[in-house]
Amino acid sequence: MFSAELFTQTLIAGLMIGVLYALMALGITFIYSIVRMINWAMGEFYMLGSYIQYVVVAHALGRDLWWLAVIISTAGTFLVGYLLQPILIKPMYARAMERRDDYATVVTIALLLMLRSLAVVIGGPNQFRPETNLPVMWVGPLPMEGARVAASVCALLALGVFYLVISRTWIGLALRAMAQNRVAAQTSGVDVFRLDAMAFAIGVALAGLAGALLAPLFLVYPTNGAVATVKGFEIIVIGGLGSIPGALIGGLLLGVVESLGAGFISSSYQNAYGFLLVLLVLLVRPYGLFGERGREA
Amino acid sequence: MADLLVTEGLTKRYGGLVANDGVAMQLAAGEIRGLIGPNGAGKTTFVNVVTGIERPDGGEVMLGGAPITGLGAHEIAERGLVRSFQVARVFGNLTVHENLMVPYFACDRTQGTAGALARASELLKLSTLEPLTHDLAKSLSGGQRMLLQACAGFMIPDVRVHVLDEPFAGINPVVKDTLIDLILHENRTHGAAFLIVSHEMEIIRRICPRVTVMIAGRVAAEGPLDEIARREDVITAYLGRSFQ
Repeated sequence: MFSAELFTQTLIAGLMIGVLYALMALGITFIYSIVRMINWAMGEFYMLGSYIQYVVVAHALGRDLWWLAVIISTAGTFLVGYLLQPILIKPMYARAMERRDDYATVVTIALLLMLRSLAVVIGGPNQFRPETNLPVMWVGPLPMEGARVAASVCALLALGVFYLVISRTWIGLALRAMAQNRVAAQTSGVDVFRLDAMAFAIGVALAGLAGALLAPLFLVYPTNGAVATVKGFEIIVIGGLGSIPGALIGGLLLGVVESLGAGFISSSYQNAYGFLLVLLVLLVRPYGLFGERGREA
Repeated sequence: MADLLVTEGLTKRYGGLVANDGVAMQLAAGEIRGLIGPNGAGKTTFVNVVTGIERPDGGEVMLGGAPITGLGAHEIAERGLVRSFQVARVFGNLTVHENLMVPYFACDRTQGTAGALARASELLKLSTLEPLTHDLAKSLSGGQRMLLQACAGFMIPDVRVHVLDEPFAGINPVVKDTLIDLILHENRTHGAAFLIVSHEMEIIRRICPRVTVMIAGRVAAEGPLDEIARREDVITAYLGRSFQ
């Protein structure tokens, strides 16, 4: 049953979902690079993004303005991240303390539980689905849900915007400097605590964007971020922690491997193929495809 | 001349160790001062506390008459007190040029890029780093990193005091001379004051009219190097033998 056409279609489908995986992974790796901590609540910001998308589409804008709702969801997640970081994470960093990244990481686990419980309290254990006005689209010979195509295109756009911000703006330059040497950035006059909050907010906003874009496909419920978190960290292991190209390539790779596995072997093991990939990468390059063995101070 | 940087009773303890014990010091505007003392005398601690890397346990730091005690390092840098590190802290994965842009825009985003570019190209010429403008900083030698670090400090608009922690340690004589020229140039053209921690007595003698000696966390002496080098207490505590 192998045909070149089917292979191409599966590949395209894999790349399309891979872009969204990359978005999640990019958020994780970005926060790690700047704030030096693992944010385990990434999936919950994905969840937050999907809930905002649902509420805005269902109760305010309607399905024709789904794209505006996506922008609102992303901005909303950004804002929540920007406001939460100084309260929950900054106290660990503001004073010299040993193993502060560990404390910060534990705080994000608490945040994970809090946000999930909050979703249950507010929306109940129900599943929601925001509507979209997008018809089925043809990607080459392949029929695709419109929302899926739109999600990939929007994710690509977001990656482009992210790249521009990081490479072309003053904030991007300061963030890159901070990722390499926090103390030197500080003595250069960079307000590292403000940029911590900014980086955290940008990172979680990427997750929120993924949640908003995928809400019509993977639905909205309190634990929908769990899968997103797992995929995000799979990619981080594949690509290497702290590496932005690693997050992008790893995301695409995971999408393609899952898609091909589901298409040509068996779709019931779709989530297992990614872990096989992780094992393989770990055997060959334990620090990930683009990870560094050590970082230069 | 009015004193620009003043510390009073500055104290820093690490557990039972008193690294700085009531350090009082005054630096005049436009002055180039040497800060010398034996290893472990508390020079780097003093620099750290003054520039906001660490909080003092007591005492006060004033810059231009305003207290800056306990402010964050970036706030102190913005107020015009900038430091360099003994091991040059540059941004390895940024280009030499980007390394210079970071401090400029961190401290002043109102003046636009034209001023930044002009200043950067002037400093790159003076520091002889110009051919490396678009190389990544991690490809630089130790001495070149020191030059880059110093230039990055000079990029901050309206700096009043530069504190350099061991800028000449472990770099080759040619780079040393370039760095000295840079310091003197900045001092002459911008009137910036310098506080230079160093063990290089020849250089200190050449560029610092006055030095401050720290011994065991206290200021032990202050004055021209040659005068101080004859003092008995300084000789025993610091040099161990007659200097010269």
